[in-house]
Amino acid sequence: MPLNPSDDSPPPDAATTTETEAAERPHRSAGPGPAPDPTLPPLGPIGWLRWAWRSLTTMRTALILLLLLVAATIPGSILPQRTVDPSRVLAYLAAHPTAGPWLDRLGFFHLYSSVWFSAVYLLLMISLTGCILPRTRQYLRTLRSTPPRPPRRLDRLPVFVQFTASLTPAQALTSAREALAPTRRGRTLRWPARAYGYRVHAHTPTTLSAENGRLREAGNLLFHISILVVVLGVAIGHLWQWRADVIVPEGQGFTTTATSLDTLNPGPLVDPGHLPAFALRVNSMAVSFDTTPGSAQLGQPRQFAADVTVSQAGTADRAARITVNHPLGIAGTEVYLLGNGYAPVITVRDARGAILYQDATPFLPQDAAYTSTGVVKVVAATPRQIGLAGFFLPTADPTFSSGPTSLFPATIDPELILTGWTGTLFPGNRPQSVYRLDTSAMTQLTSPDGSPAVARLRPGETYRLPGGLGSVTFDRVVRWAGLSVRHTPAKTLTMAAAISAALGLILSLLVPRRRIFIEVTEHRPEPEGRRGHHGAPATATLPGCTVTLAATATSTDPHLARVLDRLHTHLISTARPSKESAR
Amino acid sequence: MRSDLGGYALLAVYAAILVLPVAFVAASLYLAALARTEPAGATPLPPARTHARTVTVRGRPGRLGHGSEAASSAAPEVRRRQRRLGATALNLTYLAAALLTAAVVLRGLSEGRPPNGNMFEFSIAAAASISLVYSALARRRQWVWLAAPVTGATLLISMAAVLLWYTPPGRLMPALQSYWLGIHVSIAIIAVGFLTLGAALTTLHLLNQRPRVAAGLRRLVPAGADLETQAYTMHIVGFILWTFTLISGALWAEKAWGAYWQWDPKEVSTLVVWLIYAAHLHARLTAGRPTTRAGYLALAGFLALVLNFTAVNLSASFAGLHNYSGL
Repeated sequence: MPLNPSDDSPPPDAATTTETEAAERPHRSAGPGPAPDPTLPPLGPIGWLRWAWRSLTTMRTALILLLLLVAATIPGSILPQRTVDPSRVLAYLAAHPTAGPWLDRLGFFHLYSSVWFSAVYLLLMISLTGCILPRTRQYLRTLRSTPPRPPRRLDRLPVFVQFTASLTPAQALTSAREALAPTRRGRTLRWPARAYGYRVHAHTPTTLSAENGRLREAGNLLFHISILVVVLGVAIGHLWQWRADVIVPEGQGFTTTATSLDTLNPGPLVDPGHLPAFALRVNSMAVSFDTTPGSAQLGQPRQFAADVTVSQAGTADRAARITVNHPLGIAGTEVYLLGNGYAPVITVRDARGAILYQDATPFLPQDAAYTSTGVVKVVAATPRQIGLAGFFLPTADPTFSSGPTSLFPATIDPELILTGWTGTLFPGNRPQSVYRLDTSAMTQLTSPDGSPAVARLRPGETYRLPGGLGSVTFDRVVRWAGLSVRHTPAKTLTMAAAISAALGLILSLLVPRRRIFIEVTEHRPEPEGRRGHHGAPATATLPGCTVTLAATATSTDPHLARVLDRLHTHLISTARPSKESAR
Repeated sequence: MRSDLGGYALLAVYAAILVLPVAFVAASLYLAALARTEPAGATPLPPARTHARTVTVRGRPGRLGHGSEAASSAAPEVRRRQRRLGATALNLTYLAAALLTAAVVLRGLSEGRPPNGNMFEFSIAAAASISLVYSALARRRQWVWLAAPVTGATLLISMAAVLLWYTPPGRLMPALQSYWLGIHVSIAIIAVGFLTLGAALTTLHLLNQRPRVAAGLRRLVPAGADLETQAYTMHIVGFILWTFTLISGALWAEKAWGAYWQWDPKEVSTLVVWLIYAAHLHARLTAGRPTTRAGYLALAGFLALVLNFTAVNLSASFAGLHNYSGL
């Protein structure tokens, strides 16, 4: 997999650099004594740039950058990140008042979009590009080249066999060529020597050079180029993506406009006014929890599903179902079901019974049993606006021993607990969260004995607010679906690039790259008494030659010896029939 | 859901926990018996297939390992005892691997889903993976001497699973009810098997670089066994599988959470493991030959892998999207 300087050619520019140095070196003095140090030519700006580029694209730099990337990535999983959990970041900052702000300034809480992290992986990508381009050029050259000449000393290669066979040199070479590069279909050699496309070339009449495994380098280049494309796809995806979240109670819906969505996070190059237009209505939600008594899984969620209706201009409304792991694709976006909760339908009436507020009010779950908190803002109340804040418990703990807690996430015994405030809901018209009540300009409603007035309502019950302000009714409870609409461009490109990277990786690691050299020397028939290797007296009519096989691999190859063994066996078996006929 | 099968699965794990110490002791006795003989190399078991008979292997020792039969100067009696001890250790390891695999299968059948949902299931599957990969390759590669570390590690993991992380068979949260569970987590666990063996071989290779330790190890490891090359083979398979773990995790995340990469702590930790092993493969080639630095990088990668499966799953400070799958 890794790109390494090729064994074949020297690094480019080495020759020219040496020449330049040699030309500039002063001549040694003829007499004895130490030679003066050679003066190297000073590097101009171009020279320094070239040095920097060469250093950046070496393997050692790539190794350092990889390890630097590892070191840079790790703090992101130890320190809380704003993109994953902003509330934990705030908690961390509160708990570490001195170190916290400094970490924030250095970008540790948004590490993966920080400048220095980007610098590391961008440098790595540049290093990678600078290494890939020359190697691709080199590879394209090797595609047209022939296998190299056999080295002079074959016995210096890692694997080496020399044996005699009763074949003519031509027969031996033809048999070897047939084994390594079969012209007809079918394997002639058993694993691991089975031909992965050996290219065979005879540089001299008595030798044969075979080389295979060019696919290895192709896989290597494919892997590294695909990594670049993955990074490119992620970059495109980041620039043009947008994400919107919305909480939708059953029976309500939303459209893809900024005002209708709860949060909208557009990417840097997205125009929020030009989102694909569609409307989605949540008809009902199917949520179930484990109810096996005594089981360790009691209360674990079993199913989340939302039945929705999608409306788009120009097409008929269609019904669909969104579940976890199965988002809905609409107009190039995907709608995910990421959360759910309860929205009690609350009606607030004034003293005369006119409805001031009536809506399914989403309450946000705080724990696994869906103890939920929420707020009702009755803006229409005059002269003083009314705010209600409190808890919704799907299965209320009747003892109230640790405050309002729910015992089970399903609505077995729902209860709504509210306290009231009057005053100005939006002091100074400052923006505020829909789920939090700003009570700075409000006073709490109290019951006659001075304690805060608390309403504890079951479905259908009504509570009269003190001071003749009106009444609060808990009608019924519906669920809400937490939907996320996301558009991530270049997803397919990134996925395809990742898969091709995996394929390239497999090729670059598993395809063996071998060179096999064969040399044959004919036996000179001895005048008398010479015996051939099968014991019969050698005669001038018996062919015989010494065959030398040698192999080398450019990467770690545990099977090289066995490959040569197979070739050896094949050549011996070719010789055997002629042995029989000679007898 | 069949809770009786869950009970049988736990029984199989207990049985493996009973078998593994015996295998460990047998393997250790085998190593001790070898250490007492002349330092001429371990007597190999009768190989399943013969290697090249006539090929002469030249080159630097240990560079292209090839299992040539080293003549042991021990008496035939001693050699027979060694061989019997080695065969016992190997067979017991096979038995433990079979028991752990049976535990994984039974647990999966009891739940009606791939058993990849909590720490107990992860660790049982990891133990099964390590012992299975070892068993599949041990005979061919003459790995009897490796039985002691493998059985030791498998025993530790199985005991941790039963003592610390046991939970009865249960159903999954909706986010985990997907066919991706079987793909993503299984690939990761098989990769763990290969990378663990690679780490064991790398450790022994690094020990072998020290002359005094090498003198002792020569009696235990078959002569000519190229530890580094064998470790490399394990590492490349594990690395390829880990790449697929990353990719399948991203594909699943896109379906379940809406984004294929969100720098969630577990995703980051998986990437860190991948990057360290990538650095190891690069370092292996930088100097033209594998170096000790490359070996240490492989061990660092294995440490990151162990942390990935333990610290990141369990520690609350790594809270992210993956946390429901911890316990």
